[in-house]
Amino acid sequence: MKRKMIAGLIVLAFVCSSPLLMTSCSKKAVKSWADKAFTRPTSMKKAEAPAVAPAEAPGRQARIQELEKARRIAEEMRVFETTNIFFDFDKADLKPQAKATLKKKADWLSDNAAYALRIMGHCDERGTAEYNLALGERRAHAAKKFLSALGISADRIYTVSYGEEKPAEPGHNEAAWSKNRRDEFKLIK
Amino acid sequence: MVISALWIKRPFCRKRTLLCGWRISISSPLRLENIHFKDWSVIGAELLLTGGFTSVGRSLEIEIRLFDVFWGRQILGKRVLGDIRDYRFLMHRVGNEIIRELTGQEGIFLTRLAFVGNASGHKEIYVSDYDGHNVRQITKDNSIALLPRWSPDGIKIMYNSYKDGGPMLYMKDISTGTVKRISSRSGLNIGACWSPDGKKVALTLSRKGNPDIFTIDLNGKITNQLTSHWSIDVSPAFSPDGNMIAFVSNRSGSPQIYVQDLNNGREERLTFEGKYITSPSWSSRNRIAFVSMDDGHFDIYAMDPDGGRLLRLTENQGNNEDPCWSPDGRYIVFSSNRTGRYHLYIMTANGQNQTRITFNRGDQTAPSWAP
Repeated sequence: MKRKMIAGLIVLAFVCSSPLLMTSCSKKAVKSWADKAFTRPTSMKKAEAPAVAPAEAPGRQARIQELEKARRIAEEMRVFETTNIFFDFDKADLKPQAKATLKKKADWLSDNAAYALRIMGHCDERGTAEYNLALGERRAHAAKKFLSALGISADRIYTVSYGEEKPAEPGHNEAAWSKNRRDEFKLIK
Repeated sequence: MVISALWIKRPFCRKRTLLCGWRISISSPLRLENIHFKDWSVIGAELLLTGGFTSVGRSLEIEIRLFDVFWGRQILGKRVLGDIRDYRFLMHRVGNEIIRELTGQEGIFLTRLAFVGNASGHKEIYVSDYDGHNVRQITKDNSIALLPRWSPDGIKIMYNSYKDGGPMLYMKDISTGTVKRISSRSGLNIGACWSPDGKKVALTLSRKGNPDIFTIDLNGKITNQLTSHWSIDVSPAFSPDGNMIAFVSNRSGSPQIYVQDLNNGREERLTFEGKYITSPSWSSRNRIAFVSMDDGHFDIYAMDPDGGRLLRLTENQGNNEDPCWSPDGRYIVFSSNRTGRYHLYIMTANGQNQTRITFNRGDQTAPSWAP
């Protein structure tokens, strides 16, 4: 009799504690999902409330939202990568407009932590290849320093100098030169 | 040069005699007794070069005689025999003999050049004879190849290429064709200049963020840091004795040429006249050629290593850049866009006889003159 009682108590204890165990398990699962940046709101819902019938309309909407988001990010990236900053002849100082451009880029980079950045420094055709390679590097470093001062980790930013080797404009006048003294930006996932 | 040019243009006549007394005329004879030296001294000639050639089948025989006009005696007589297809080589050998007789130094006629060309759509390294003949492409990186530099023994070329992503330093052995990566540190690995003994190169590295000049051995190991300044330091050029380097620094706010004594590290600024001065090249006769920008144009100058005896070598002819001395220090090869695109030209140490030597498609720049 006593033995049966004890056995019954153990069973009862198991039965009572099992929901507790289950909840803690599911919490952990949710947390570990949330830790990853790739969490999808739909899958979370499913995990928490599997009883609710999968409504088709919200799923489609979510997908549409996701597509829109992807389209928006692609557009933002295009703007990011096509907006250069420009320098004066034989200078690597950031002009006010360059700083404003870089601030926008810093905002985008802090919102999109999955992306790293390559900055390519360029010069106009005047002067020696060697001096311009060094100057181009200075220009890339100037942008890198400014971005890291705004909180973007320097580990996310790579630089390379092309000196005068990759002009954006082929001309041989100030109009072309002013467009060639630039930093270009490339996002890397 | 005049001599060889004269010969090259008339290679296939059966027999012809040329006379050349730093002025050129074409007439009669080769032999001492047939020359009226007074006629030549009257027009100011100090030396008289006569020569002729005979070509039978494929063989070519060249004979030259050099006379001292004042004393009326022969200084040099040479005869060379070879295949007619090698007429350029044969004549250049004779040219070297003449220069050696007159100056005691080896002439430039058998030397070669390396340079950057973009005819293929990419910048690649090419080599040619000293006069722009026999052009041969030696890199096919399909990237950006830059700044070729011959080793003092004339066998290897250091150059920069972006083929592995950034500006890294490579060494190509011209005899075997093998390429070895020498320096691939992050940032710049550019502008290698061989020490006169050929055991190390000076170059600009920026692995710690700032471009400074270092020396590395031929395995790429750093042997010394020569400059450490927050400014841009590039374009090292060794003095002929290897005890000094000239280099470009913008520590004053704009690029200027400085020299450093490698024994005690003392540095001195050499140029003060221009606002933008680059490209030092140090000759075996102890002159430094450089480029200065004036009114938006680049021109070549030369000076002594203490900044004295400054001489302007190019003027009013487009941009003139990338000077590099011949091994004997008597000529400078440089690039100029005076005809529109950049091509290579040769001039004497004082800027005379500026002659275009490359006629290839695209641009030719950054020449390096091999021994």
